[in-house]
Amino acid sequence: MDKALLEQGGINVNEALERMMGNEKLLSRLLGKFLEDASCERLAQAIAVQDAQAAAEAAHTLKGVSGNLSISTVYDLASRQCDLFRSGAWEEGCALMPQVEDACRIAQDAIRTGT
Amino acid sequence: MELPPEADARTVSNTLLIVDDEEINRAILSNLFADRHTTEEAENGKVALDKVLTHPRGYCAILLDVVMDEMDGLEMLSYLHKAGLIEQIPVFLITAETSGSVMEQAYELGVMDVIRKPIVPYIVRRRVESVIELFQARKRLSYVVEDQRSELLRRAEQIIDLNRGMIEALSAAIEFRDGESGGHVRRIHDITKLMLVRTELGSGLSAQDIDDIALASIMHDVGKIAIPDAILSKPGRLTPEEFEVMKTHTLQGELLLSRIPQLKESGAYRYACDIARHHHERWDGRGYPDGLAGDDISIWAQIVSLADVYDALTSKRVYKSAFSREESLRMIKEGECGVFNPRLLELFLELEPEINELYESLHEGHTEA
Repeated sequence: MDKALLEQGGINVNEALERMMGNEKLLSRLLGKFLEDASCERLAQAIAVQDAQAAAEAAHTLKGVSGNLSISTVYDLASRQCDLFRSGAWEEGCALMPQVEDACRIAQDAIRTGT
Repeated sequence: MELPPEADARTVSNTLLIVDDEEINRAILSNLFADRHTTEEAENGKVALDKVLTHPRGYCAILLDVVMDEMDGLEMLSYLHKAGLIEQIPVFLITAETSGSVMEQAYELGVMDVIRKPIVPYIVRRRVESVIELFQARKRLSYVVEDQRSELLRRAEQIIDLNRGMIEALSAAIEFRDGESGGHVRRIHDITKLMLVRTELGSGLSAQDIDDIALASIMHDVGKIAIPDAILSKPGRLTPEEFEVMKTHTLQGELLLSRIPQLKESGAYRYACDIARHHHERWDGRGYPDGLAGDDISIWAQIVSLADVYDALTSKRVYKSAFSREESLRMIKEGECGVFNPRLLELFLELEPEINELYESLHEGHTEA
């Protein structure tokens, strides 16, 4: 596991490891799961069809998962986006989407090379 | 492998149920508790609820996510609440939800604690473990208390049985003197109880009262211990003087019973004294020792009088052979053994076929005669 690479991808590795009780293998495996995680795509789709309820739920799920894996960049954005959708600020929430997708892609690239 | 939880109803489960739609979140929580618990996972509230309802004693705690397709956390919580399971299994809401209304709703539904996602490992462990330990200790303690309670009940029952055995032994021993086998007191007990349980005569009496009266009926003839053998076992007819002595068994019985201090503590005592003294009184006032008439004679003394006569007639005695059932009933109806309360007689005759069956099943005394 290349910590520096992962950190560059927006992942707070030490915090994540602490949550895994120091189990590096588990962290690698779960980061691998994040590559398959569909919540980012679900989020994009919900926005495309303008389904506010589904968008809020997908943002919420993304927030939960990225939070637990300490992917801070994604977590911060998903949290903000989730709050915006929940408070009815649809346009502002949608405006964050390119940033969310970027953060996800950067994290996923780092995971592919760093684990 | 561990035994399934249902193998022993007393097993205190150590399995944690983790409910979250994200596999990543489930894996993190599972790993967090892997050193102390076995864990099971469910991907939504519906799956989890099925598990809990199938094995209600199978889980030591539930870690529950809020936002899930196919039954969310709050919905599952309200099902657990309705099923009364929330008092038995501590539920922790683990959620990225920040809304105050969700927390409020969750606490109202009886959730033990709400823990924020992303989780901080030592906080989650500490909060969850303390509660699990508390619940497990409470459960173990309740099993101990339950055991002790049933042990105490068992001992109390033993003592009651022993008491009843002693009373029966005393009464039967006295009965042996006039050639009875012990079946007489048993039958009086059964008839008395049957009459009180099955007819209006027992109305107003509790089940305990009826048991006490039935037990007291066993002691109706204990006074016979004071009657000399020559009179008690005389095959022929008693002279008037001998009969006067025989009649004192009623008063002697009451006297004897009053001298057993432990009996006074028993609910049967007052019935036993009354029955011993008055089981030869008659409805028309022509009985002994007090010549009481009508309702001045307690209903239990009246029942025992009639049962005593019925049993004496249908059984073989030193001074007579057994009468047939029909003959015995005729004699009772026609007042040859004294006058009985007409209502009592009526109820007795209604129940008599059943009493007769009881006699036949006992196969004692009169059937061998």
